[in-house]
Amino acid sequence: MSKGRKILIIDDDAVHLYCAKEILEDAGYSVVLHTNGFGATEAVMTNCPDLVLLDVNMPGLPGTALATVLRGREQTREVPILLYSSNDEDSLRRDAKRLGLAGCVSKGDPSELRRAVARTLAAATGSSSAPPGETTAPTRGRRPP
Amino acid sequence: MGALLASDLAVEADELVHEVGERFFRTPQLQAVAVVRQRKPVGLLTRGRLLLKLARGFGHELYGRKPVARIADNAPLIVSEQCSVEEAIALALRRDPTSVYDEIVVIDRDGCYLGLLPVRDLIVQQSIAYARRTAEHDAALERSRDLEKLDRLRSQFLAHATHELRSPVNAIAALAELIRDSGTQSTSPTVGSRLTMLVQCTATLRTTVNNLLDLSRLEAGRTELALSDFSAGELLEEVATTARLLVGQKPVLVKVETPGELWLQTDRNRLRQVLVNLASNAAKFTDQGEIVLAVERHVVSWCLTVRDTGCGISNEDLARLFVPFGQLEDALTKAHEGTGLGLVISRSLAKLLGGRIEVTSKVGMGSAFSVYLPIPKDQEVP
Repeated sequence: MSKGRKILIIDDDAVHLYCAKEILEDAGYSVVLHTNGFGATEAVMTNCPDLVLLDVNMPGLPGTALATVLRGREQTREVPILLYSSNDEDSLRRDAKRLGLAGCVSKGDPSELRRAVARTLAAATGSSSAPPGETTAPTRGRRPP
Repeated sequence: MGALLASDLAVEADELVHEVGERFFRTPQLQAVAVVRQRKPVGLLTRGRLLLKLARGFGHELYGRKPVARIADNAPLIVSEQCSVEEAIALALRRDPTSVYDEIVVIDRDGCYLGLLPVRDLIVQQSIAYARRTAEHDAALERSRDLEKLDRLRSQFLAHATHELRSPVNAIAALAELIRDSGTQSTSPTVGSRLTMLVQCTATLRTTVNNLLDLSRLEAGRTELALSDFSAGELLEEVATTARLLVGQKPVLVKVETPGELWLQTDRNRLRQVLVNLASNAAKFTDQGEIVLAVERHVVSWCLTVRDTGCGISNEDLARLFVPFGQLEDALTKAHEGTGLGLVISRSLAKLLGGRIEVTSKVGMGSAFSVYLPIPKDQEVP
């Protein structure tokens, strides 16, 4: 389906950045990386990604604050944002909802990441015709180990 | 209220004024008596009122032979013993200014006279109660503020520890899955680099778990000491080797300074743990210059210092450096890895060894952490 679409991953942790990149590239997406919160707005404007995968715990500027900045700017307002973190899933979901983001996904489960990305991209594609409720994304419970 | 009664003195209503006057004259501390008839109060005679009546022209002659009820206040304030202090005060103060400080007559359930209550004592009592309540209120407020702060710090700590434990686990899980997938399709260098990351994440996780376990063991007081005699120089060289590994490629010189051979007597492994922790902090926060591991013998203590030329610590941060959970306040945006438990553990360990840790630092110049350990009495220099 949405192969070849561009995803911007913002994370300060090199290992998580690498993992997410590999997982999404294997799934056929084109991936751009950014290693911290600063200059991220710039990165979104230059790369025009179809989706932003955003880490929460980052030095200087946490993902939640960055999301607010991105939503507040004309040029970056439309891009769907998925929070991506090792934080407690409930608080992650609360943050995503509070900030009006596309959704959230917990780190550590590659297939969950693939599913969330695919679902969010599909919802965003149909968003011009679909009611706004359907663009809100996948906030499923954690799978049992 | 009953407990506050000043006297239960009463005179019968028929008693003569001059007899009652005699009683007031003989007992200077007597301020008032209740006038009763068949145990029921019918009036109040205060010293002031009695003197006023008797001292005025021919007062003594006029009233001396009359029953006391004639000159007493026949409508004194009478309250039941169940009445609250506040209520009694309110009633008393509502009276006419001339009688506002007159004693209050207290009766029991059956309306029988119990005793007299001086308004002055009542007000003092109320002030004391009020002061106590205020103090209690302040103390409770303080306690609840402390608890709130502790609670906030604990939940921050929990959120932070959760993240620090989950982050490497999640990376390990993702890497394992990637390696499984690459086993069939990719070349061995990819697998090699993925395995390296896997091993690093496992190490990070192990450190965090160990720190958390150390801290809870220390807080539960379950750490035992194994004392021995050993060379300070050798220990510092060991720590220096670890520090050099951690410094890696950075232009930082790690050196040991000892004033000749110096023997310490304490738990070597615990002291080593403290020094490794201080040295790894120095390695983490020093980008260039040097890290010096030094030992000195003072009068009553050995002093082991880890000095660096790193980024230093602001005064504000110094204050909360050793506060358990305190250094975790900006977990969301902190720039360096780790749970920040190392110093808390180190301080607890130093305390366990009978010593303490002191720190001096200047932003941009570097920091010096000194561990002071007591020298056993038999080894002190005379």
